Amino acid sequence: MKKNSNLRTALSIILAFILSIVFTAITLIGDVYIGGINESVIGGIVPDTNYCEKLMKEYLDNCQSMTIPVGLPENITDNIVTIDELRSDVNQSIAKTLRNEKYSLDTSAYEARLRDNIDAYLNDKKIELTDDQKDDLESYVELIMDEYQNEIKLPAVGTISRYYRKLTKVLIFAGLGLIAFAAFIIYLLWKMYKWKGHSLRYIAYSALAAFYMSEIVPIALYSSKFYTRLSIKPEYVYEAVVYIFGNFLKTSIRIGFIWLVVLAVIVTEVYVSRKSAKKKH
Amino acid sequence: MAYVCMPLIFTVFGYLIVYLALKPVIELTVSVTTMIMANEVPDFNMNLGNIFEDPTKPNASREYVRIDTGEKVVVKVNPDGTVEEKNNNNATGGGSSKQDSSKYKVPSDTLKWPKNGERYGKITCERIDMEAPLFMGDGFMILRQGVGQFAGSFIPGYGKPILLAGHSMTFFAPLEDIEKGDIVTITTSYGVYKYKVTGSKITGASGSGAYDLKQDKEQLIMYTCYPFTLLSGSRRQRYFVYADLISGPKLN
Repeated sequence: MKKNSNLRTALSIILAFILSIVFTAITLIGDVYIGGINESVIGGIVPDTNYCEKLMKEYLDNCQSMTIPVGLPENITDNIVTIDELRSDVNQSIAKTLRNEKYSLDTSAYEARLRDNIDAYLNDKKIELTDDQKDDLESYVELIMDEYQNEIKLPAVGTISRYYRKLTKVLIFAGLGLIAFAAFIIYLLWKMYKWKGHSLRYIAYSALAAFYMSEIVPIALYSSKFYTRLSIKPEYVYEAVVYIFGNFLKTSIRIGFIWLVVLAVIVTEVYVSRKSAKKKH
Repeated sequence: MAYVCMPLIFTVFGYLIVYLALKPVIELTVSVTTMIMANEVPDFNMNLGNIFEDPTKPNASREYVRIDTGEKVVVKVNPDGTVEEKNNNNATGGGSSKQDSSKYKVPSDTLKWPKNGERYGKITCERIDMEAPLFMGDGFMILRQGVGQFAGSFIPGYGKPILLAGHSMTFFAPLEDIEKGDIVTITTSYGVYKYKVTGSKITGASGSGAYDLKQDKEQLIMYTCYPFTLLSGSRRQRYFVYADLISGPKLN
């Protein structure tokens, strides 16, 4: 009798341990599905970070680096694009890339402003350009506009988004499979004891262990802010990567608290059923 | 008590099993991550480093080694590139005369090697009114703030070629008027180096064949875009100016 009881306890502990691993795996799948590089997270980069401001700064820096060698004043590319126009272009680029559509940006308005700036400078200095200089001017304008097109494009977003869509299909199947397995283990634990409070106790151990396992690492990583020390350039890409990492860790921490709620419900149920059992006797 | 202990035991064993099962993946991820991580949050400001201290300032002095005797001496470095030995009380004695700095070596323990992006000197040519800060490296950011040295060439005093780049519309604009025989001066924290211009050359945009960095001669090679006109563009030609070392302390 005692031997059977010890065996049942040992088996319950093993099942509870396996259940805690399954719960943790389900949490991890939830973390990746909700907090991973999905469309809503990518869509949050522009409104929730200084991505566009940093992109504008990078673009203007690069324009100045291209302007100095040709002898034009550094500020000739200032104000050819406003921050609102850039933000709109980036949003459109993200939306089209996520839908796997080609995005062609119309820079004619920006080009016109740049040419106006150049003409104003040349008129002010009373400079007449030779044919060679006019050719070089066209090359310079094309260079500045190409630089804008390249900065706005987000090819990595499209690739990541496509892989992520494939991954989420796998995650859904894996998640459902793990939920079914967890349900099976809970059923076994349920059937092993006459008084269901015993079964609930082992499920409570699993829930709390899942909470610990799914919270310790994200909390440690989020507190260390290691992702803010990644050597990534340019600054706007760094902003986006830091945002994605931080968002994933915050989501993981929030989702892990579900197990505390489950634990609270189970502990309450065990307490209530113990009280009612005592009353009956 | 079991509500505290059992979950903790499960957690410890759970992490242990995951670590043992995924050890190769975890180690690879950690090593890749540490490769792209810095010690601090990156600083995206445009400020470049600066290790340059002008050795020709009034009360400045340097420690050199006499090549003929191997003796360590304290010297005052003059803007014309000559040096005056100071006596034991660190003052130039009444009998101290100006010496050619080529007779001296810079002790290696007093030399601070410039890192990429650091300012380590200045380049001047009085006749054409050229003066620019000198940086190690030749990236966009550096060339906006001064003259940049190709990191694959050598610093003054090493006895090997020095390749410098600058924009033709800013810091190297005066090169348009440079002539054979002009003296170009590079002032570093460790000494003043004088170079005599020996010639110039116009090449294609790639500049291939215009210089030899493997030669065993300290040749100063300065290059910029050509022609020196507005909108000459970076796709046109290059203008190279060559100068040979005439004085300066050797590096030990």
